[in-house]
Amino acid sequence: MKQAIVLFLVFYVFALLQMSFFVHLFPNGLVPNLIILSVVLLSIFERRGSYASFVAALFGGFLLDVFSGGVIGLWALGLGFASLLIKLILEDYVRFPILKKF
Amino acid sequence: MRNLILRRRFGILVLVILSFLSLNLISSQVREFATSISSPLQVSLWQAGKNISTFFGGGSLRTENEVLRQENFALLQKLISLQDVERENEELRRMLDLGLAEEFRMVMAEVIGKNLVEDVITIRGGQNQGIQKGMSVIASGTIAVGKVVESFSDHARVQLISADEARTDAQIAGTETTGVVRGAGGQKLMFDLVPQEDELGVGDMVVTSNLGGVFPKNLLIGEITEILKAGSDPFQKASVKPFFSLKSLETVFVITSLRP
Repeated sequence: MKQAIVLFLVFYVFALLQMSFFVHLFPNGLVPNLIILSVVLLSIFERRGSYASFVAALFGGFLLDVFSGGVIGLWALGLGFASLLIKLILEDYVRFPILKKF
Repeated sequence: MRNLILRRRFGILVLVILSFLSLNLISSQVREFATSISSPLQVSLWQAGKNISTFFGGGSLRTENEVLRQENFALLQKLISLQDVERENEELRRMLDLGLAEEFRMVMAEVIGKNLVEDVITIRGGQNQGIQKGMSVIASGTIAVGKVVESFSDHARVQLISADEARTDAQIAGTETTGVVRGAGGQKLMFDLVPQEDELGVGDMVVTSNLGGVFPKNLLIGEITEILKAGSDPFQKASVKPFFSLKSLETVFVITSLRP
């Protein structure tokens, strides 16, 4: 539960950074999407059997939905699906011996 | 047991999806709430980002870039205007060379609307510029175009000589052969009411005569492309290809009066 709250807060800060801070630092509107990057990295490096990346994807996606103006749930479910897909592929075909803390 | 766990996970997933979708019913409230609690932090982050980018030069460079872009657009706009003025000057010079400006008082007007179906154009220039109903309209190169059928304060409608109802007294250049040029619509002209005994040839130039009183004499109308003779008819007629092109017509001159 504690981990979920921390994830939500971190992603909330990421969303605000993307919208308000990075827009000044990155010219031509090419701002890195920290939430997507984090979800992808979490999905790749989390240990087997953990679903933290999936929960993170739902949180992050929800925040992107709320701040984007589109249909709520589109980003959340899309990212959640992407996270599960990455995990499925990695668990069956690839092994990373590093970062087993999550 | 495994089935139970799977079913539970599936149930949770469905619940999550439904929760997200149901939030769309109150999406405006959700967004308003999120924005209101985030705005103080957002403002601070916005200001911080701005300060940092200005400190490292990115901000000032961007501002300078924006100013230069604006200047570039303004100069481009000026260039286009100058090109227009140059084109207008060229047309006026051509008219002066032809001596028409000495003979008539003319008002130059820009074409701002074309009705290709009815052969009618709208020009920028009306009663405020001295343009009245019935005045003749010509194009550069002394080409007869039409006459003003309606004049408003700053605009006027010009019926082309090729419009269905248009009639223009005309003659074959350099001869005494006279007739009437009728508009046939769609930029087509017919040289009609030419006595059978008169000689007409393909390629003959049709010009205005001063019989009708609308156009001054010898303005170019078109070139004969086909002669149509019927034995029983007392008159012969011919198809005429007009010299003006409605598609490329951009500027016209309205003859307001003869110079004293």
